[in-house]
Amino acid sequence: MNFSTYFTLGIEHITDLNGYDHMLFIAALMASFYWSDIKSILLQVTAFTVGHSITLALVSLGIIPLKADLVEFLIPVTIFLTAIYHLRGSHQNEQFKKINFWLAGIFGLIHGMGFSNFFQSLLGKDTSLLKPLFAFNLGVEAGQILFVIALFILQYVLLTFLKFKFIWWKTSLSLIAASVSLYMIVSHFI
Amino acid sequence: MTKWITLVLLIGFQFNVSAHKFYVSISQINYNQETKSLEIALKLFTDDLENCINESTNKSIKISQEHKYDQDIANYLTKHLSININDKVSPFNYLGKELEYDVTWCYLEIKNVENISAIKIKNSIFTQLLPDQKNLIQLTVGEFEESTILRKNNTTITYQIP
Repeated sequence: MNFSTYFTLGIEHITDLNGYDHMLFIAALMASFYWSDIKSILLQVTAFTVGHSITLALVSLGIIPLKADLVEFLIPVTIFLTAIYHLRGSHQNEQFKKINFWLAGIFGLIHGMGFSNFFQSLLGKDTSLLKPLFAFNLGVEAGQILFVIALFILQYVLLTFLKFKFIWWKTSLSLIAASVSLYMIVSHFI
Repeated sequence: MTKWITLVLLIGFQFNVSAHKFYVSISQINYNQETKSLEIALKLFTDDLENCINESTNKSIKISQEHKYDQDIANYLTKHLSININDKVSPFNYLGKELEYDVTWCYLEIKNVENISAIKIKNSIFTQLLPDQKNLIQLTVGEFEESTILRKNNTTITYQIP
């Protein structure tokens, strides 16, 4: 097993433009945050990481069963709920940040099951699990951090140089996340 | 102005949305020193396998436990997977397959392999139809273990076995 192979697959999975559900969730989760509030951003990222790492490991090790269909349905639901929450919330409210922290962690559990669904398709027969799992999870973390950095650079550019209003940023990001995830939820039933 | 940008973004993001489908396969390649054979297990998504065979043969096969379409599968794999051992083309035999949920395991074998000092693997499985396909190679020859991700624009890997 090569560390770099599974690490690369982890990065590519979360930053996959053909399936940007996880990025959309992170964007929704960060919609109400201002780039300079680094401490809060790190807290949210950490909560999401803890959540998805737990279920990625538990499902991959066979400790909890995976219902892939259910998870694929629940992922857009987590995005939708988070986006609606941000449409109405404010980053200056401590209570808002606290609840968002728990959303990141609990919804992270669902995204971790999605990661595991993918990870298991990368496993051969009778191969060791722990090392690939570790490498893949680190890859996911790296990809997630890259995405968060890109997101806030974009926010910085729009607000500082192009003089966009913060409320525009927050509202459009939430609206995009809400409408795309709603579309995914609806198309699940058609 | 910003309202219009939002509107364009909103519409733009509605395309290209679907469940997070992934395009990967694994080729586990192990050298069995006792039987002097190279054993290959391929893990392929069954729907992709069917689509790619159908596309290249103009048939409409549906893979099941039965052996009905094994020849089509073997033909497809022969076309898209080739292995050179010590600079010599080494054709494989198709042994059989196993279905497991949404994947098909295909088992192949190259017989009479006395030793391996270099092995070249070309794997272009599914890449014609699925441009984002990643084919993961996992090679084990004795103590030597290596893995590589092959893609549409990079379908070949050569390993030198020490």
